[in-house]
Amino acid sequence: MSWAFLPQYLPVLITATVTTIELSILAMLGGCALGVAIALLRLLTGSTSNTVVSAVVDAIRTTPLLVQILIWYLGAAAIGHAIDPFAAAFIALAVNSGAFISEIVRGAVTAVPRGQQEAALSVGLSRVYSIIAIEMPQAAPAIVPALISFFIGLIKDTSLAYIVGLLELTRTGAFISNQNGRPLETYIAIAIVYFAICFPVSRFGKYVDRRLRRTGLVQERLFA
Amino acid sequence: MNLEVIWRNAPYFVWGISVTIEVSLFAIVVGSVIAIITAVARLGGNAPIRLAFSAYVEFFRNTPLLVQILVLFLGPAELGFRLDGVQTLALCLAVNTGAYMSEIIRGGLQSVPKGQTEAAASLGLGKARTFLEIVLPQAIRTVYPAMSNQFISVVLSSSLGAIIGAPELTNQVLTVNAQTYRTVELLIFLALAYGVLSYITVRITRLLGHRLERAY
Repeated sequence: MSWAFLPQYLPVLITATVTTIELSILAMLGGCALGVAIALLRLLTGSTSNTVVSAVVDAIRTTPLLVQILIWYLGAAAIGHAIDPFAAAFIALAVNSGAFISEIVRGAVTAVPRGQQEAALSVGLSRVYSIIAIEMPQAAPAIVPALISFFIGLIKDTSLAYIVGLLELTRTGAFISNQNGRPLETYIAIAIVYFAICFPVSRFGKYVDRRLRRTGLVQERLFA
Repeated sequence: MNLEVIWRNAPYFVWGISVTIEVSLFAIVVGSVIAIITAVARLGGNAPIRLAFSAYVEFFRNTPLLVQILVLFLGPAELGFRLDGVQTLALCLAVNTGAYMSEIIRGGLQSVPKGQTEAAASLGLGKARTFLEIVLPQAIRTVYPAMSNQFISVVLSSSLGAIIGAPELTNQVLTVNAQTYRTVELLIFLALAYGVLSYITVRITRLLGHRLERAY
């Protein structure tokens, strides 16, 4: 093994790392917005729309993310509206995350004791207000750690944008190893960069989880 | 819409589906074994063993599967040996899912009350039998739903084989797409096929789950 080639590629690697982080954060924001919206929709409306929404959510959860990225990228081009790789990866990741996050949020909100909702309605609050201001804050200790661990998965999933040629970390690894013919060292270096991003986030997630437990929020919610 | 492209290439897709199933089955079975060994080592081993297995779990959980696949597929050529696409895919999926499942199983093992081990010991059962016949079945019963989610994610992740040219389903569809440019039909077919594969996986894991319940 020889690592001498690495320093000269440092600028490229930094650009790629920025792209990966950018895509992860944007997709996470999009996914959270979509996820909360879908969860609200499913919590508020009746069974008809629930059936439709849950069918879409299930369709997204039972197809590989790689295929979804291809569908947005190739599909958009096939119907005459070509979009660039970053946009395709962003849309695919955000929609995919939205489906998973909606389940996280919905599950946690449903687990809040029913008395909370009844109390909110009985003092005259609307159903929407009750979910957003009364139930969601109580569900937060369950939602936040789950979102952080989901975010780690999302960071790693941005590597799939490789297939549409977006120059994020993994694709940049391919570019570097094609130039120097040293795939082993190159991809190990790429793996280390991902690790350096994801490991602190996962530690932070564990810390937040422990912290929320210690403040008693989770217990309180469970035994209320 | 022109579905002829699906019928004409059907044998090619059937081959792809069979590779997808084989690779997934291998990864699920081998991954489960790796997971149990890792969970036990991290709970019961001495400090160096715990550290080694923790390093394995943390590394595989904090790097993308795609990068792991690329390291194993392209890397060894420098060291003088080579694995083909299917071997690489199966191995990476197994080791990767093993790392994830070990965390699930570890949680399950910790949830089994200590009294079970003590009761088994007081009946004169050896350590190995206590673990295999008393503790492990109860642990797996507790965490089985989380494990079955992992099984589905293995099936879906096997699509990454397309990037290294392993002839699984996604790869076959993309190959046909490059020859025919029937993109819309092929992608719809691909999504539906994975939907069916996931559904079958759910049904089978549910059947196995019922068997686990019955063992009481």
